[in-house]
Amino acid sequence: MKHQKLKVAIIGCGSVAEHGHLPAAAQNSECEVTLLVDSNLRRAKQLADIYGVPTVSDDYREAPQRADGAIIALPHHLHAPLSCDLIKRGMHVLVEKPMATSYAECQAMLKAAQERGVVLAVGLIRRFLQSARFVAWALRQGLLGQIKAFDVREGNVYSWPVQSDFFFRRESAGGGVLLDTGAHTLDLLLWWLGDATSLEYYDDAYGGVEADCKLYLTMMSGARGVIELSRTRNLRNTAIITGERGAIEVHLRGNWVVLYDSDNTLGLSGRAFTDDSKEGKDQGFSDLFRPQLEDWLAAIRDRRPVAVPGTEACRSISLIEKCYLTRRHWNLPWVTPSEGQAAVLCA
Amino acid sequence: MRLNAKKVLVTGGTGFIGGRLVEKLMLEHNAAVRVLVRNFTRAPRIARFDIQMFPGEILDGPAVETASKGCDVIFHCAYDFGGVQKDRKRSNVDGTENVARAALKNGSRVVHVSTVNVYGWPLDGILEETCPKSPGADIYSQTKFAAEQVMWRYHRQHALPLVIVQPTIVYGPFSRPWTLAVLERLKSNQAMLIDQGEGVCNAAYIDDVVDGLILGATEPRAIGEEFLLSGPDYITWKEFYAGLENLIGRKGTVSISFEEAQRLASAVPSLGRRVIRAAKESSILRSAYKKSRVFLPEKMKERVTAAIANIDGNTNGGVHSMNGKHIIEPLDRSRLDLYRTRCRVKIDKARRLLGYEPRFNFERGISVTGQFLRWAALVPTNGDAWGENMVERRPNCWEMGDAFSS
Repeated sequence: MKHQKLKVAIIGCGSVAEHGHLPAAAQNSECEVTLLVDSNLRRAKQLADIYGVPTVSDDYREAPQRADGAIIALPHHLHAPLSCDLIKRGMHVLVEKPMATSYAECQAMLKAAQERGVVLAVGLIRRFLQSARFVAWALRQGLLGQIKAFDVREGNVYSWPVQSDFFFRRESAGGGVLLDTGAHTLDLLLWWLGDATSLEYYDDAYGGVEADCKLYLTMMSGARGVIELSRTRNLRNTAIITGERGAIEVHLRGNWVVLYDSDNTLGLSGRAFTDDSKEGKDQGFSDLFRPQLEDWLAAIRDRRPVAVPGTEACRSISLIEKCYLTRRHWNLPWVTPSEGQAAVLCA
Repeated sequence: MRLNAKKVLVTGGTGFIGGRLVEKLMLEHNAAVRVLVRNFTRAPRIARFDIQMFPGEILDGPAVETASKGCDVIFHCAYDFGGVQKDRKRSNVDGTENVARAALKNGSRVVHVSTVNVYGWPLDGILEETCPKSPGADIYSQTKFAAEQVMWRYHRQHALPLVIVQPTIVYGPFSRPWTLAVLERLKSNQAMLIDQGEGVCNAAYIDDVVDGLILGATEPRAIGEEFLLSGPDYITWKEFYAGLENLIGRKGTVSISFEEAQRLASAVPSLGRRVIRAAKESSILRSAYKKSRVFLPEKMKERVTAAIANIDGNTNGGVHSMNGKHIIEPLDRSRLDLYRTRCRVKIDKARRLLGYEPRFNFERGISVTGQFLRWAALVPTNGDAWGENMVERRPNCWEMGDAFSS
């Protein structure tokens, strides 16, 4: 039986809409984008012309009249209020990460979705990396034995083609690299290893948003490790998880995984696969938006849970919030002792 | 004297010198800092602070005027390395005029960041502010010289409160030309030492230069003066490169005589060098060039490098790196002069009028630089020779923003 196409509005026409959501929707036969919303109407019109979207607006409140679901890709501080409003108007929502800038906002979004009976998904695209799914499976199966330690480094010299300065203002971004990149990284880590019991967090913000941060975590399982995130350094972008029987190193931005024995002398590296082709393929950044959209649409159509529900995204937001509440200053190597003292005062 | 609570505008605040200046203005002076930001993608380092960021570039007169309104001091650090010669002249010289005009309107003092290159590099002797200016033919030196002339004109004709600083070889954390790029050349065995590297490297650690800029903004006697800013010691280029070689744990230089280097420079015609430079300067081609060096198989990389060196059918000018695998890109005349000179830059005037006293000799400066490079996972940490944290061992998956450069 042929399904009726789901009408989708995209709220926010920044880079992620242009290079992620719109191309994914264009390739999906089960939905059609009927509305683009942006405060910059010229920008919305430009994208509408490229992707053949019939309507543009600078008012998101037009969405319920023109669509069944909304993809929200706005500055972080708007995720919660707009999601809640659209959910209350009966729309299904796929909201970009971070789900919100606080745990309380996440809870409000979940409550609204539950009360209205709509699907709320969160754009944590890395859950669709086949290597990430492989690691989740391997750890669930106890392939490495008891997990002892982990070491996660993710960063690159910032290259996101920002359309505005919202990423760099605390009031609109809600935080820096921890909330932005960390929403992905910590989501994966908590998915793989379970919740944390204690933390120690350091970052380099002095009244603005952090560019570099370091987080020491102890998990409920007893595993301990470090996560370093950066907008100024090219780091290895992998997680190394060590158990009593061996270790896994997995790329955080691509389909690549390595398994080692406990001596680091015998191993296997390659790409994971999740179908019967038995052939692991590279997954680029934009490749991950397709399965995410398919999953959200299927959840709406079949009335089943989404792969990344809001309840999952809440876990990393809760951890991030705790980090910010307990933050200590990270003295960078070139900062002189006198500057370091001033930093403590102005942080 | 300090800049506490003073309103300060920094142009080029997302760059190397401007970025460290913003840090110091916030941490040591608690100044009210504004930055004119051309490209927010480069803003993470300064966004750590509670500063005001104004979108715009120096070529945009109204944007400069808005950002500088009510400012006590403007530090003009911006320099646009992009574009063809004509565009570079326009953005850097006309842009400087916009800064001068805005400063005049606001009554702001301007600390204009120029370069030692405006003097050219004599073969030997002492270089000080009284020396005649004879900039090299390269576009950087030419545009910096022209920008100085614009500033001097505003000082003479309109009494603009102007201070010009002329830093030397500025190295340290985040320095592209004199730390990160040198490191890349050393890692790929493509660093060239002229005449065994016996020329004098007038190196200055970034913090000393920034201290000089701030003194220029606060010292009353500085107005209407220009100041060379360099480090406290004189080292050779061999010592400078060795400082970085020690950090990567091996040699990466190849030594040739000045005459050989000169022959190579003339063997690869200026058109060829312009093609290479244009490729590096265009954002699309630069990305392709960079990626070709990282991603291409070794054999193809050699071919590309050789092809670049052999542009215009000239095959007799290549210099091979120490592992014999790469042909090193020839240096242009200005660079050759820089590496050959025995000339020592004097900072007596800055000492006398500004109270400038550089605190970082090369040993100390390179030590902090090493800490930065280890932190940035660009050189191995002790006991981790190209180990756990080094990027090179991992595959090149997408980076944030990669989707937009393809």
